[in-house]
Amino acid sequence: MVATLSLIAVGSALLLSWVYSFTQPKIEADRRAKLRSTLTEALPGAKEFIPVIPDTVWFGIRDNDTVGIVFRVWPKGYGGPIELTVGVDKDLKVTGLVPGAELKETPGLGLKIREDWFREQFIGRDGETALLRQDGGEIDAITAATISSRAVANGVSEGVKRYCRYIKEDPMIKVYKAESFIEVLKDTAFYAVTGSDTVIIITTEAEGFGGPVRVGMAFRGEDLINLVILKHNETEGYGSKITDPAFLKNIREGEFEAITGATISSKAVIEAVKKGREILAGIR
Amino acid sequence: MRGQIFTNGLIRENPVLILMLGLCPVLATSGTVRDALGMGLAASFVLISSNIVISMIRKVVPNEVRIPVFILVISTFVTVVDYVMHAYQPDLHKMLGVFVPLIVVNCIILCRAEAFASKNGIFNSILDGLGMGIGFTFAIFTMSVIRELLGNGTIFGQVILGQAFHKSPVLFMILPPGAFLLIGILKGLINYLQR
Repeated sequence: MVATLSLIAVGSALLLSWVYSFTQPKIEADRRAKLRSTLTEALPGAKEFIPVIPDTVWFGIRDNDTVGIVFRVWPKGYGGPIELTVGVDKDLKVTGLVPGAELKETPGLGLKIREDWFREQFIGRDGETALLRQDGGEIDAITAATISSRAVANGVSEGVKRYCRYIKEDPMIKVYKAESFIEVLKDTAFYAVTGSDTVIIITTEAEGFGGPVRVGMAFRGEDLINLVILKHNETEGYGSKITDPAFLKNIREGEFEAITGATISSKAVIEAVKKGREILAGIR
Repeated sequence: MRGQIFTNGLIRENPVLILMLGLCPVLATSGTVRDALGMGLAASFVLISSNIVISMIRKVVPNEVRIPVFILVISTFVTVVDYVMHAYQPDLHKMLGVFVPLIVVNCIILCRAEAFASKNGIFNSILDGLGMGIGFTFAIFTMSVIRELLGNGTIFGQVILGQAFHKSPVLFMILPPGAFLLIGILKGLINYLQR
C-alpha cells in the first residue's frame, strides 16, 4: 500500500520536474520581458533599469545618468489592492502610470482605471496635483467609480512623495554603479550588489563654508574606492575646488592636504569621510 | 455501447447542466469566451489524462489508498497544465488566476476517476474523459458567449452588438450575479425541454 503510493508519488515528481525544466526558463524570461516593458511604459526616457528596493523602486538610467525612477505602490481599491507602476522624472513629474494585470476592481466601473484617458491624466502631475479634483488635485474621477479613482490618485501622490528622495539625490548611482541596491540605513547606507561583489555606499554631510557639504563614499571592505561630492554650496573658485579629482584622490589615500584658501571646505570633506567610516564600522 | 460512453457526457449526463457538478469554475471563469475556453480545455486535458492514468493503474492500487492516489494523479496533471499555461499563455494564466490550481478540486474530475476510470479499461476511460470534457467545455462556453455578448457586447473581444451597446452593456451579466442568474435560466430551460 505504502509502496504503491510512494511509487506513484515518485512518478509524479519525475513528470513534474521534467515539465518544470522546460517551462520555468520561459516563465522567467517572460516575467523579465514583461517587467521591462512595464517599466519602459512608466518611464519612457530610460534605457536601463536598476532596482533599488526589490520589486518596488528602480532607477531609470540613460547614458550613465539617472533620468528618473519607477516605483510600485499597492493602494487599497474597491476590490483589493491595485498594483500601480509609476514613472517619475527628475522634475518629480509623473511620466507614466501602468495598472497591474491582476486587478479585482469591478469590470466596467473601477476597472476603467486601465483606460488611457484616465491614466494619461497623471502624466505631468506631481505629488500635489495627482489627486482627485474633489481632493484638491487635477484628476477627473471615473463616474461611479470614485473609490477606485481615489485609490489610484492617492497611491500615485503618496508614492511620489515617499520615493521622490531617490530622485532628488541619486547618490548611489553617482558614487558606484551596481546592478542593484539595498537600503541598509535609511537615506544613508546602501549595499551595492553586482553578482557576488558587494560594495557599501555611504552618504554623509558635514558643515562647510557655505552650508552642508554632502559626500558619497563607496567602500569595498575597508577600502574607500570612490569619493564623490554630491552637493555643496562652497565659494566658487575656492571652496568649490573640493570637487577636484586630485584632491579627492588624496583624501581617499589617506593624505590630507587642504586646498589653499579653502581650509574650511577641505575640512568638511575630511569630517564627512570620518563620519562615513564611523557608520561603516557601525554596519559591520 | 462505446458511442454511448462518449455521448453520455455531452447531453444526457452533462456534468454541469444536468449533474450540476464543477459549478465553481463555470460561474467564475465564464465572464469572457477566451477565459471559458481556456478553463474548459485545461479541465478537459486534466480529465482525460487522469482518466487514462487511473484506468492504467487501477489494478495495482489498493482500495484503501485509491482516493489519495487519484488526488495525486489529478494534482500532478493540474500542475503540468499550470506550468505549461504559465509559460505559453501567460495572459490567460493571469486571467484565470487561482482557478487553474483549483481544477484539482473540480468534482467532475474526481467523480469520473472514482465512478468510471477506476472500473473501466483505458479506451473506454478516454472516451468518457473526452465526452465529459467536451460536455464541460460546451457548458462553460455557452455560458461565456451569452455573458460576454450581453455584458460587454463582444465575443473574443470583438465588438459584435455595435459600439453603442459596447459602451453601455448589461454590465450585470459579467458580474458574479449574472453567472448565477444565467445558470438558473439554463437549468430551467433544460428541465422544461426534458419534460
